[in-house]
Amino acid sequence: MKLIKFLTVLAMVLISLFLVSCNGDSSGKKIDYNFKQGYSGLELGLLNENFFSRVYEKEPFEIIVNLDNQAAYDVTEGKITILGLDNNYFQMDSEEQEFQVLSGKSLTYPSGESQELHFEGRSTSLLENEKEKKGDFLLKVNYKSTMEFVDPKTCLNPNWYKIGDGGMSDSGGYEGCRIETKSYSGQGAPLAVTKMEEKPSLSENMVKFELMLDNKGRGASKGRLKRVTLGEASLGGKELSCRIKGFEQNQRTIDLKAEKQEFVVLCERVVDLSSSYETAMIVNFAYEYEIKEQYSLTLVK
Amino acid sequence: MAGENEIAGVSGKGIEEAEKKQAEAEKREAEAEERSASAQEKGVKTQSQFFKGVQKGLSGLADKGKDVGSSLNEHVEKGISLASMILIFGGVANYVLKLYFKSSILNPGFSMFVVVSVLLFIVAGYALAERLKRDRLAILIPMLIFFIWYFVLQSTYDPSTLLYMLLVFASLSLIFAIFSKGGSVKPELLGLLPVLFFFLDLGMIPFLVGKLSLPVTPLLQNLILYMPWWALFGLLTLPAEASKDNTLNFLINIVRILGIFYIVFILLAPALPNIGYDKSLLPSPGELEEAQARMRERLPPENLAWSNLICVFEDVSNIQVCVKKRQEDSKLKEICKKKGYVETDSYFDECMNEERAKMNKGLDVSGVTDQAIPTKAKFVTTEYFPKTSYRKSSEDLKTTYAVEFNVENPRKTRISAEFSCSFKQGNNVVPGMVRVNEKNENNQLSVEFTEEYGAAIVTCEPLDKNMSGSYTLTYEARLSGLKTVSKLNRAFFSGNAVLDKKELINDIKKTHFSGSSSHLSQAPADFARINFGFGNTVSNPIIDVTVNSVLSSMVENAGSGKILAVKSYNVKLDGFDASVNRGEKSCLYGENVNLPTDEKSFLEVVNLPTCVITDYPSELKNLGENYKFRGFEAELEYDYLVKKEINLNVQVLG
Repeated sequence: MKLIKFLTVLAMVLISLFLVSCNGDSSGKKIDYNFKQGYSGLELGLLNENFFSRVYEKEPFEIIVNLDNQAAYDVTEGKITILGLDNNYFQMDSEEQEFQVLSGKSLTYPSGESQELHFEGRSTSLLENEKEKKGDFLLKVNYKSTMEFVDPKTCLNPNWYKIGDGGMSDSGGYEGCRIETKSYSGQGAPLAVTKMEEKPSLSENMVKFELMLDNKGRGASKGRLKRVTLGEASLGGKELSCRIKGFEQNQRTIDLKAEKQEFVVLCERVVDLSSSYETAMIVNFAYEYEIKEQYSLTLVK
Repeated sequence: MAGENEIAGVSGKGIEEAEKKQAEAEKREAEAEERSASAQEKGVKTQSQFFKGVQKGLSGLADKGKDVGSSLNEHVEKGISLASMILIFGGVANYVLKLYFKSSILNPGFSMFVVVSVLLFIVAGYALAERLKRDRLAILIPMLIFFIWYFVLQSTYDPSTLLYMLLVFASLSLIFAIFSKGGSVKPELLGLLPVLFFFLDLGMIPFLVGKLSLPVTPLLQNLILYMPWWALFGLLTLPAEASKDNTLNFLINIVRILGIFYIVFILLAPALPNIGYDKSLLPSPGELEEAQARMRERLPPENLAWSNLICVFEDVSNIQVCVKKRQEDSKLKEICKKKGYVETDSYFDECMNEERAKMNKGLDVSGVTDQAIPTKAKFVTTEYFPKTSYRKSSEDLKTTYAVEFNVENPRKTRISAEFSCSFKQGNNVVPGMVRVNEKNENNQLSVEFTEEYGAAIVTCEPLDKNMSGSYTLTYEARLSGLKTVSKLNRAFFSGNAVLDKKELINDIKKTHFSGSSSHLSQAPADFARINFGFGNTVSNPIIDVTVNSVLSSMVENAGSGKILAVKSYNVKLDGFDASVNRGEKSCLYGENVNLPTDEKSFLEVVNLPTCVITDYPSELKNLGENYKFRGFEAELEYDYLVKKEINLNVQVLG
């Protein structure tokens, strides 16, 4: 028993050492690394937030915004806006700036491209007997980006209707690939396909897919999906007909409200279901995203 | 013969008796010898016994030590472990120190209290392990995994890392489960309890409240922060029969049950929305500690439970009112202490009353940390004021009645004060002659104040020198040139250009109007103030510029005197098209507002004209998806009457 205890403690210590030394930096494997996973997006932050604890009267000040693209796709047509500063106290030279392209994570930009934007302003005077004035404001970022959903092993199997789950033969073994509902942990953008259901229809020789999408932005890249455009889709290299559920076939762009960020895309195609095989499914999306963060300046004497 | 026989008898008897006596004496002697011999023996014995006794005593001490040790062992077997006791006392000590030594004094990043919490966390694991009879080591698995995840991996929420950690946890659990034949599952689950208490102690919930703006009632705030969590954990690790005293056992069990309900209530009461973080799901220990300290600073200094306890004895019939007053008093005391007043200071009560008045008038100025200092003016009597005067019947009253008139004029405006006084006895009013600073030249009864602080001596003599009896002496100061400024915040958006109005309004509310009175105008606690508001509805601070607004304002008497005149008002809405009928702009500015002339009434409110705003400045229009936030001012110039009444007595002698 003592030996077992000793061995167990030793195992725990070794595993702890292993975990501590593991920092996720697989520098030797970048070439194989798939950036198109997870839910990261454009991250917003202020570089000099500590400075705002004291902005003196009639003095210039600067708000430095840091943008860091952690998505696997480029961010385009970006705009940052400062909202809510009372210009009786804080006068900004400009409350809005644009940025063109921030590259996403790739082999050439493994950590994503980042950029700083400077907003300059000047404080005025406090009113009589005012010791300080707190100015709350919102920093808003709007940008456009894309997302590509790829499932390289989409199963097409005419035997799905047999005993038990799809693909199982009478003898109990599998014939071909298995049709199942699949879950995904992101495609490297805050807009993500979370689940896909496949519904073959033998009578129509057609295969139907239901893709569930949601806004999975987190932390510094958490924001709101404003608009989504359904792009091209293909199954096995051939065009896949898709539409957004609840809308007409030709309506490829929808606006989303803050309280309802999820939606469903329905895709279908006539296929030859005489044999079972796996093929790649690709669906492209474009979206507009908005991030808002609250900060404050304090004007003091 | 008989006599001879008698003599013989007597002689015989005597010999027998003598022999008996001798025998007895010998016997006694022998006994005495025996006794002395035994005494000697005893003496020897006593000596040896003494040494034996010492020896015994020393060995007795050693035995006692063993007994203590063995009794401790018994207790350990029963479950009252040293670790539990350390948790109870250490937890209480940590909590008391936290209350009195705010963590801002120490390094805010990773304070000493975090280190103490970590140590208690380890002791908690040990205390829990001691309660289990077997497979105790398994408790350490979740604790160790959590420790590494939280401190080394910075509580990352990355799915791949989480999956990795879960696999390691599962593997270790499997190893233990195999070797323990499934007995290690329960200890592993129990190992999550110290984790839970670690967060409760460091203030996880206050941080979620501060960062995620969860709705928490003041009661819940108190319950979270005024609870020594580790001490509670120590109590929970005690066994059902912690001592031989049944009453004590009962009390401990009650506390344990209440503690469990307490924790469940704390965890379930606030609704936790599903919000995730890319890097870290949970804040760092330093952030938790800071948030807890920030939250503690906002709470009244006096513990709510303590207030309740005191009020049970002080005013059991009205506990709620009593508790509210105690909590309010503790807040006011802290404010006055911070201002530099000492409790024993005579001005301390005055400070408390002023702050209470501010609190009750609801002058919660959003965005301005310190309120503007109000203009004040008042008559002050000293202890030398002659409340009772004497005169001879043949003489005139020679008493002059002097008071000080103090003015605080923070904005250094030109304030003119004109004084008068009178003596009233029933319906009879005797006018008084006023001197200001001992002067009454050319009937000059007024004085001007232009500095920040000013004072004047106002004396009053009755014109009737033959006064007698009780009178009410009234001093009046008519102040003119008083000015006050009120401020109001509003946000503007273009309703026809915003896709999601509800979201924008929520953002604006959260950023600028989170306080309950943030939509109201704010003014210093002067004698009077101008209250104004405008919007699509007057009280709605978020204005859609595509819709007309309404402006409404009034002058409020905030002091105990009387508004004598509203000289002018000016609501500064430059660029706004606000008009009443026929283009009159009297809702924005006006002069010499009509007031009732009834001297007996003290006006509370003077309503000013209301009007409709039909157009906005160009910079506030066509805002697209954005909004603008602006502050506005309104000025008021007015005259005010300050009064002081003093009861006095004139006694006529002879």
